Amino acid sequence: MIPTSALTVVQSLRYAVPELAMAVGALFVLVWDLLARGRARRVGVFAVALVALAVAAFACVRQLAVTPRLPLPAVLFDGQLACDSYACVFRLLFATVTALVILAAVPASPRQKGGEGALAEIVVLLLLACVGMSLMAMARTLLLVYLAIELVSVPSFILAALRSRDRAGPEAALKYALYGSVASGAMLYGMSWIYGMSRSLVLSEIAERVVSMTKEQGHLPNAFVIGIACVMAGLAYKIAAAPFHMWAPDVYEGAPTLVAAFLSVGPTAAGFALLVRFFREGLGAQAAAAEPRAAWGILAGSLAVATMTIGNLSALSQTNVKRLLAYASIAQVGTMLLAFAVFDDEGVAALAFYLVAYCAMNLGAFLVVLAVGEGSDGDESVDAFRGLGERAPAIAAAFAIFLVSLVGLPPFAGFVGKLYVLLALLRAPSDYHGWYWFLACACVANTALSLVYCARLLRTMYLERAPEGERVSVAPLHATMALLLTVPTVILGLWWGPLYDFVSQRVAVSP
Amino acid sequence: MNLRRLSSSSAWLPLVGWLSLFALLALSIAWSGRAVASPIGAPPSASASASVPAAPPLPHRPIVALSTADGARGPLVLTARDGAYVAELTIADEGGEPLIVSRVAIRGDDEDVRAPPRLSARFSDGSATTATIAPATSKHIVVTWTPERNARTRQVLAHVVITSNDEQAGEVAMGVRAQLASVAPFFFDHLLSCLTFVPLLGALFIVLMAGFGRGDDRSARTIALVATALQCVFAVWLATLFRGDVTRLDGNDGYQLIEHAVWVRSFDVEYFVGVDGISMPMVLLTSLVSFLGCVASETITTRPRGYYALYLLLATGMMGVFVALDLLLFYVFWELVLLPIYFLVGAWGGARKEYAATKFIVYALVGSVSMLLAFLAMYANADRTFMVDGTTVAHTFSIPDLARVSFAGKHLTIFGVDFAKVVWCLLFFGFAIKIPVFPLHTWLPDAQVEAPTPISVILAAVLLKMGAYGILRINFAILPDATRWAAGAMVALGVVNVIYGALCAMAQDDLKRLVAYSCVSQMGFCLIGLGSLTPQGIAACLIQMVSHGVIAAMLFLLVAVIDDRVRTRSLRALGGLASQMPLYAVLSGLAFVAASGVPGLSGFWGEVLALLGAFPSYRALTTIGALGLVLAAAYNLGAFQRIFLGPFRDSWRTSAALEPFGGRFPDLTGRELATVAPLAVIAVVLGVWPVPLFGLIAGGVRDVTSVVDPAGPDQVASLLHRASHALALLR
Repeated sequence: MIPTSALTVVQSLRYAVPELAMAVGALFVLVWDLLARGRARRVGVFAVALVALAVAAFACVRQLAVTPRLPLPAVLFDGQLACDSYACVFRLLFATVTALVILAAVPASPRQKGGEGALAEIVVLLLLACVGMSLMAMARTLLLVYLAIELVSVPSFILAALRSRDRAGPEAALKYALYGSVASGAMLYGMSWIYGMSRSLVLSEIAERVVSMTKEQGHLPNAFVIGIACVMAGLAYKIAAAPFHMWAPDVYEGAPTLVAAFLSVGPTAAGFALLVRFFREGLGAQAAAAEPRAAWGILAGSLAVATMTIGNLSALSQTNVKRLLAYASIAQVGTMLLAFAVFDDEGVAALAFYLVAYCAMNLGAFLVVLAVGEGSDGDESVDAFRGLGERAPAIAAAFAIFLVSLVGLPPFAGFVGKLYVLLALLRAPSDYHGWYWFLACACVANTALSLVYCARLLRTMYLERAPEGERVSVAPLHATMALLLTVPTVILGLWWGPLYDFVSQRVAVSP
Repeated sequence: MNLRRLSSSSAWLPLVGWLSLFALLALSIAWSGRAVASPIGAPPSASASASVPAAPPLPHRPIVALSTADGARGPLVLTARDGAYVAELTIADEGGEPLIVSRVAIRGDDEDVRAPPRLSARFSDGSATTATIAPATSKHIVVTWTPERNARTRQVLAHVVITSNDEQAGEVAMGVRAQLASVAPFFFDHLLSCLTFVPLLGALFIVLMAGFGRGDDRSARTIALVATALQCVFAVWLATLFRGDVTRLDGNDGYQLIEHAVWVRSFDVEYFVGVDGISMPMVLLTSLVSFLGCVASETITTRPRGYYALYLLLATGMMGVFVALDLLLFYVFWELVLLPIYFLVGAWGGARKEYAATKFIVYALVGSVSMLLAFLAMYANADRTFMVDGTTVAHTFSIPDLARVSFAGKHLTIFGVDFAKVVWCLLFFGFAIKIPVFPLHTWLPDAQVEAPTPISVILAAVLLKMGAYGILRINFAILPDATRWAAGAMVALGVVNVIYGALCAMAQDDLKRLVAYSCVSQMGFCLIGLGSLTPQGIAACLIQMVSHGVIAAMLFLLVAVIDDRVRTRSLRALGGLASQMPLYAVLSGLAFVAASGVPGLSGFWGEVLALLGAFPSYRALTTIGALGLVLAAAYNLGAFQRIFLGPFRDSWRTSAALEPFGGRFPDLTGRELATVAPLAVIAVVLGVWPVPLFGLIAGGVRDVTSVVDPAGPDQVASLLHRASHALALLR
C-alpha cells in the first residue's frame, strides 16, 4: 500500500468523520453537563455520547465499503495519518467497545462514581481516549504515534483515579501515571535515535532506511536496535506485555471496575494495532529477508512467552478477582503476541480475530465482576463469587462461558482464536521452524496453566456454598449486557467463517 | 437472575438502546459487505458519476465451471430412476478459449479405492469421457450408480474429477452423493447425528425448564432416562443397519452411515461422521453405559437437575468422539467431555473431590492441547484435496484424506527429528494420558475413587477407551510408518501397565481404588494388542475395550452397593458377606472372575488374544505380560475372598451403619440389579459366543492391519473359522 499523494487537511476531513464526531461529542457533553439540570442532564450526557459513537461507527462502516467517493487507502493530513481498511476495522472495534463501556456506565450509582458530577467526566474521558485509540490505529509518523499514545494514556490516568472512596483509586492512578510517563519518556528517547538514523519521522521512510542500512552492514545497525528497544518499552507498556506489565494489576485493582474493563480491552487493542503497523510499515519486518526476520521472530517470541508465563503463573495465587483478571489479560496479551511474532498476513489476521474475540470475552468477564461487586457491596475478592451458581445462575453461567473461552476450550470464541494463533505459528516461514514449534508448545503449556485458575473460579462459583443463600441483586442492565456478550462468544465459537473472512481480508493489506 | 424480573424493571430503555445500536451495527456491516465490489481497496474510478459499465471481454483462457442442475456448486445428489441412481452435472466454459476436457472420471482407482463400485461418469452426448466445449457454452455429464441387488454399500460419497486445459484451476471436482432409498429417510440418513445429539437436546431441555422455573428433579431424571434410552435404541438400530464385512475395498473408505457436510469453509473443517468396525462396538458400549449410568444415578440427591444436564452433555461428547471423522470435530467432542466430568466429580464426589477433579482436568487438558498441536501440524502439511461438495482445498482435517498423505515423503523435520515421529509422539502423549499409560496414570485412581458411582462407571468404561480408540483411529491410520517405529515401545508400555497396575491393585485396601488400578492393568492388554500390529492383536484390543468396559462398569456398580449401605470400602473391615447377600455375592463373584480373564467370560478373549498376537514378535515381553494374568487372578479373587468368604463379623450386627437395615446387610435392590444384570449377561454371552463381536469388527480390523502391516495374512477369518469349529466341538 503505497499512497500516491497525501490529502490536505481540508480534503482529509471526510475521512476523519469518526474522530471528529467523537471529539465534538465530547465537547458537547461537557457543555451539556454545565448547562442542563436534573434528569435531563444525565440522559443527555449518555444520549449525546452514544449518538456520537453511533455516527463514528457508521462512518467507519461506510469507509470500509470502499466507494469511489471515499477511496481507500488514503493518506490524511499531509502524511500524518493513514486511513486504510486495516485502520477502519480497528476504529470500528474501538467505537463499539467504547459504546459498550459507556452504556454500562448508565446505571452507576452516585456513591460509586464519586458524586453525580463525575459521570460526564467519565464519558468525556472515554470519548477522548477512543479518539486517541483511533489515531493510534492510523498513525503514520513517529510524532503521531507518540501523540496518540499520550491521548489515550492521559485520560486513562484520570479514569483510574475516579474511585475516590478510598485510597486505592488515586494510588492506582499515580502508579499508572508514573509508569506511563517513564515509558513514554523512554519511547520518545528511542524515537529520537530512530529519527537521528533515518532523518525522517514517516514510518515508511524509516523502513526504507532500515532496509538499506541492513543491506549495507549485513545486520541491523546497533543504533536502530537501541532505538527500537526503547520504543518497544513504550509500546509494550501500552499493551501490558512483560516486563512492562507491572502497572496492570495495581491499576486494575484500584480503578473502578468499568474503567478496568475499558483499560483491559481498549488501549490493548489499540496498542496491538499500532505495534503491527510499526513493525510492518516502520521496520519492514514482514517484507524483510530471512535473517532479520528471524531476529524479530525471536525477540517477539521471547516477549510473548515471558508475558504468557508470568501472567499465568502470577494469576495462580490471586485472591482479588480484578487482579486475577488483570493477570489473565496479561496472559491473553502474551498469546496475541505469539500471533504477532509470526510477521506475516496470516499472523496479523489471527491477531485481529483474537482481538475481536478477546474484546467480547474480557468485557463480558469484567461486566460480571462489576455486577457481582454491586450485589456484594463492593467485595472484590474471590469469596464474593462463592456459590454464585445458586445465587445468580444466569450471571454465573455467563462468567463460566467467558472463563472457559479465555482458557481456549471449544466451542467458544477463545478456542477459535487460539486455533488460528497455533496455525499461524505452525505455518510460519520454515527458516526458524524449530523456534515457532517451541512457541506453539509454550502456548499449549500456558493453556493448561490458565485452566488451573479458571477452574478454581468455576469451582468457587458452582461447587462451594455461599455464606448466606439469598439471590444477588444486580443492576439488570449489567447482567443483561454480560449475558448478551456471551452471544458473540458462543457464535464465534461455532460459526466464525464470516467474521474471520471479513477481518482477514481487510487487515492483510501488505505494503 | 429471573428473566421475568427484567421486563418489570425500569432499565429497559438503555437496553433497547443497546439492542438497536447492536442491530444497526450488524445491519450496516452486512450492507457494507454487499456494497463492497472487491474486498481489498479497489482502484478508485476517475469520475464520481455512475456510468453503466461495458461488458468486460472474456479472458483469453478457458475457465471451467461446474454446477448441479439447479445451479449450486455441489454436491450432486443422485436420484433413483429405473433401478439406477442418476444425475446430471453441468460443465461450462466461462472463458474466451475452448475448454478441452481430457478426462472425466470417478475419483479413485483399483489401488486407491475411494468410491463404491458400479459408479460411472460420462458426457451425456456420446457417452465419452473427453470433449471440447466452446466458449460460453456448456455440456452435461451424467453420473450413474447401479448398485447390486444386495449391495454392501448403501451410500455413495465420491467425486467426479475433471481434468482440462484450464491450468489455473487444475483438476476440479464435483462431489457426488447417493443414498439407497429407505423408510423414514430423515432418521436413516442422519442416524449418527440423532444418536449423538439426542442427549444434548435433553440437556438443553433441562436447562431451559430450569431457567423458566418449571419442572422439578423428577422430570429432569425422566428426561435424562428418556434421552439415554433413545440413544440406546438408536445404537441398536444402527447395529442392525451396520455390516461388519464392509472394508475399504467396498468404497467410502470402509465407513458406513456417513454424514458429510461442509461446516466452516474458511478453515476447511467439515462435519464428517461415520462408523466402521472400530467405532461400532464403542458406540454400542457408550450408549449402554450411558443408559445404565443414568439409571444408577438415582442415588444423587443434591441438585439433580444440574447433575443430569452435565451428564447428558457428557454423553453427547463421548458419543461424538467415536463417530467423528474430521480431526477438528473429533477435538471439539473430545474437549466437550472435560468440563462436565470436572463438575460432576468436583461437585458430587467424595472426600477429596476438588483435588481429584482439578488433577483430572489439568492432566486431560495438557494431553488434549498437545493433540490439537499435532492435528494442526498434520493439517498444515496435508495435500491438496476436495471437500465433500467438490471445492478444492489446500489442506484438510478429514481423517481418510489425511491417511493418504505420505508425511515421510515430504521430508519434514522438527528440531532435527522426523516430522511424523514428533507428531506421533504428541498424539500418543495425548492419548496415553487417557488410557492411562504409566507414568501418566496417577489421575485415574483419584478421579475414579472420588467420583460418584455413575461417573466412575463412565470413566472406566468409556473414557479410558477413548484413548485407545484415538490411537487406532488416528495414529494407526494416518501415521503407519511411525506406528511401526513405536510398536515395540507400545508393547513395553503395555506390559509395564499390566504388571504395575496389578501390583498396585494387590496392595490396596480400598475396594474402589483396587478396581481403579485393575483398570490401569487391563488397559495394558489393549496396548499390548495395539503394539503387536497383528490382526489378532488389534482385534484383541477392540474386544478387550468392550469386555473391560462391561466388566469395569459391573465392578464399580457392585462396589457402590456396599458403599451406599455402610459407607466403607475397606477390605479389612468387610468379610463373610456371602451369607448375608447371596445374590450380590454371586454377581460379584461373576464380575471378579470375569476380570481375572477366565475362559467362558468375556475377559478371556481380549487378554489371551492380545498375548497371542504379540508373542511372535515380542516373546520376552509377552511372557512377562502373561504374569499379569496370574496377578489379576490374585487381586480379583483375593478381593472376593476377603469380602464374601469366611465368617461374618459379629461387630457388624451391632454397628451404627447397619441400624437402618436391622443389623443385617440387605441384598441387591431392584434398581441395582437392573443396572448390573445386563452387564453380567453380556459378559457371559460374549465369553461363550464372541462371534457377533468378531463379525462386527472384522472389516475394520482388516483395514487397520492392512495399513500398518500390509504383508500380514488375514488371520481374523481363520480365527473365526477356528472359533466356530471349537464351539461346534463344545456343543
